[in-house]
Amino acid sequence: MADQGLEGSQPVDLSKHPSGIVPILQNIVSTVNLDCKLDLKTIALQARNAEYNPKRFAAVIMRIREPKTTALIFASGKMVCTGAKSEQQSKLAARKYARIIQKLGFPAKFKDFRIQNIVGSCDVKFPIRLEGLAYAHGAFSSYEPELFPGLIYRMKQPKIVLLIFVSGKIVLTGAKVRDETYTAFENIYPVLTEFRKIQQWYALYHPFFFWKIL
Amino acid sequence: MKLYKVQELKSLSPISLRSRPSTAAMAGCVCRSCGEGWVVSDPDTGFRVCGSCGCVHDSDVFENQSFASDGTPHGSLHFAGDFGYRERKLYHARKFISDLTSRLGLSAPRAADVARLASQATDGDLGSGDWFPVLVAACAVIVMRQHRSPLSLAEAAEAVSRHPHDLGRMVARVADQLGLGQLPEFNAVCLLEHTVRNFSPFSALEKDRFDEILGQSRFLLHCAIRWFLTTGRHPLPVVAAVLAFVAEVNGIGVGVEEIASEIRAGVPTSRRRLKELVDVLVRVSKVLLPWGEDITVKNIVHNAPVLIRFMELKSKSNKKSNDSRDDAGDLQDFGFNLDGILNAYSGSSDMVEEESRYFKLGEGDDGGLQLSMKELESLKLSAERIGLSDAYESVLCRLSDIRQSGEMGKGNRNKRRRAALEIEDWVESWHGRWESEKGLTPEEMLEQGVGYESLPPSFINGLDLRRRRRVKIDAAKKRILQTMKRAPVSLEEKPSTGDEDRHTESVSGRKRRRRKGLIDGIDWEDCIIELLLLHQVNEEEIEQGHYNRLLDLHVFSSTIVKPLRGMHNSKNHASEGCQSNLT
Repeated sequence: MADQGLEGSQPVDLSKHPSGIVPILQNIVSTVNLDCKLDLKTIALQARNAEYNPKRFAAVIMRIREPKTTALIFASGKMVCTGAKSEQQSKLAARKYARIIQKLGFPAKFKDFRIQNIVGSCDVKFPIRLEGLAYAHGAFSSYEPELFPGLIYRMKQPKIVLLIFVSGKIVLTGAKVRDETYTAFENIYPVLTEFRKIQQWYALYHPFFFWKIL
Repeated sequence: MKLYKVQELKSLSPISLRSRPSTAAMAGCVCRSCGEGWVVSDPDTGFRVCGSCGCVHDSDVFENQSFASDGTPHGSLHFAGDFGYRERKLYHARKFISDLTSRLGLSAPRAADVARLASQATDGDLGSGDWFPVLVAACAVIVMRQHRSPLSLAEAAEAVSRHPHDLGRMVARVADQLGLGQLPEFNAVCLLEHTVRNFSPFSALEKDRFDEILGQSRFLLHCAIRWFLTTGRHPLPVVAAVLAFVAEVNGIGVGVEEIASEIRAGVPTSRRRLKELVDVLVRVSKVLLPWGEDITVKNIVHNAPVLIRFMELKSKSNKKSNDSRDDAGDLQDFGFNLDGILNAYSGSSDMVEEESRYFKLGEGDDGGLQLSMKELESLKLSAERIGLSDAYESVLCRLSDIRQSGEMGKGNRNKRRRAALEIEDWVESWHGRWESEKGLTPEEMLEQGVGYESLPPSFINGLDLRRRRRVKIDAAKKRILQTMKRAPVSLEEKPSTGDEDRHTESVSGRKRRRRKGLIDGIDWEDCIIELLLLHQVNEEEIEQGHYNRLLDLHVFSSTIVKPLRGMHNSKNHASEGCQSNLT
């Protein structure tokens, strides 16, 4: 089985993840240059799982089932691959798309493959007082409940944007490598614990609720 | 002063000036009044006048130059100077700022601040495009936020016919450009006070009742903030919900829909927030009030005045205790003094004797009613256990009568119920108010306990979902074991608690709602969980519920990306994981 399938089965490396929580990668966005001009209409007519509506969007949208991803193929030969759950999957999917283009008769190459964005998520399993966090970290935070329910935390180093929700769910985006995601979470975790809701009150009044907070 | 003809001056409107030729171009041109070509420059004033008829062609000063029929001047032309594009743009921009700020109800100093901010943001150029109204509205929002005054994005966006998100983006851009930093959070308490003072169903009340409603709603909103009902939520529906609840408690015939419309909150969201508020208050009652076990969402309205007042007392006492000890100490020595509220109630001359006995639960060694946590727990049990007085039973009878009489939500019925319970007299017996009048900061607000803590609804829902998935995982493992002819007794049976039973009911309730999708008691989610378990997926990951991701990674990934070192061991590990999952 591929390594990506085992990440959850392995025990957490506490030296790398002192919080004991490993963010899960949800989406990888990568780009590659096929280094040739493409006739999108030809691709749309000949390829399966391809859609092309130049009035709506100036790229062919192609999908494959394994790895389950979506690619945006532009006439310039540039391609964007989204939806993969790991870096390897993203690269494999991009190669598959390039191979499809080759089979359609274009001299496609596989140049400058780059991971552009990694989106991860995790759950700290305690509620967070967003007002306090926004107040204490105003320089990095944007909290506008009239517009968005989460607090947007723009971390400087690593340069990652975190969406922090009151339920304890965290979304991390903007990383180029997964270690940036992990580092960002380990940086923010102690901050979040400062603003965690004291749950003992609730458990005190609702002894049956202990299982929920464990 | 040199006077000119009325006709000439009327012709010098800003519109006509737009097509006026320049001074240089006019030299030697024909007079538009008499047709003579003798337009000269007046050496005294510098004006260009017709040497034949005296018509002034170019002037920079306009004063009271229009005349009434009796010859007296009236009206005035205020503008002195040249009317170029920039001047006209500035003039219209300032006029728009003035118009918008007056529509938003901003005071003159605030309107001046808005104009100053808009001028700063545009380097003094202001503007005239479609973006300019959004900019002015954004400046209005920023100014009101800075002064902790109530102006919601929704209201400001409506004033300029834009979406609140467009306005929000502009607010962020202006704040960023001018280096204003993080703006203060929208002040929901101010909006609530503003609504109570200006919305006719509340503002028309007599002063005592008005003050009572204002105090109750203000305190409840603080409680809602403390109970996470506002965190990560749009503040307007919460304000609407609080006001609707307080209106119902006080028998004011105004519904949540009307209040939501008044403050531009979403009606369905406001209804949902009202339900959440009522649910939390019921839970609070069960903890704080001795007769809490009998309080439901239908009769909470009648107990709310007592509950609110009691929480106010609790808040005051907590504040005192917080000065000397921290939260942990408070937790260990939790208890509260019912003296204040009970003495207040018993001091009421209008109070029914039998109801006063209701509170005589037992006196401590010091003569007071110091209740420990254990005693408090016992208080919310049945009447038999705590030996309540006849009054309690009579209250129960009255509550049952009220239940039979109908559901919550009708103003006239509420009045009858309130009259039946006669709790208003109790509440009126204490004239103190909570300290929210002093304008607490959010930190102070959160420091003040009200005797009950709650968790965010989204967090509780998340826990419930995890728990539901855990039940499904256990059931799936049991089914797999049965299929594999293993002894099902090897599956560890967890001791059932009352809450688990309740949760199982909740799960079965969900199944009942999805009966159409059930085959042999198994729905799509059970099938996916079984599949994931058979593919050795970690149960912890399944509990998180990202099924699509797990299916992609573990089920629909037959292609090996690249040879991995230790892959053999990993497979072994995976199979071991499977064994551990299933045993």
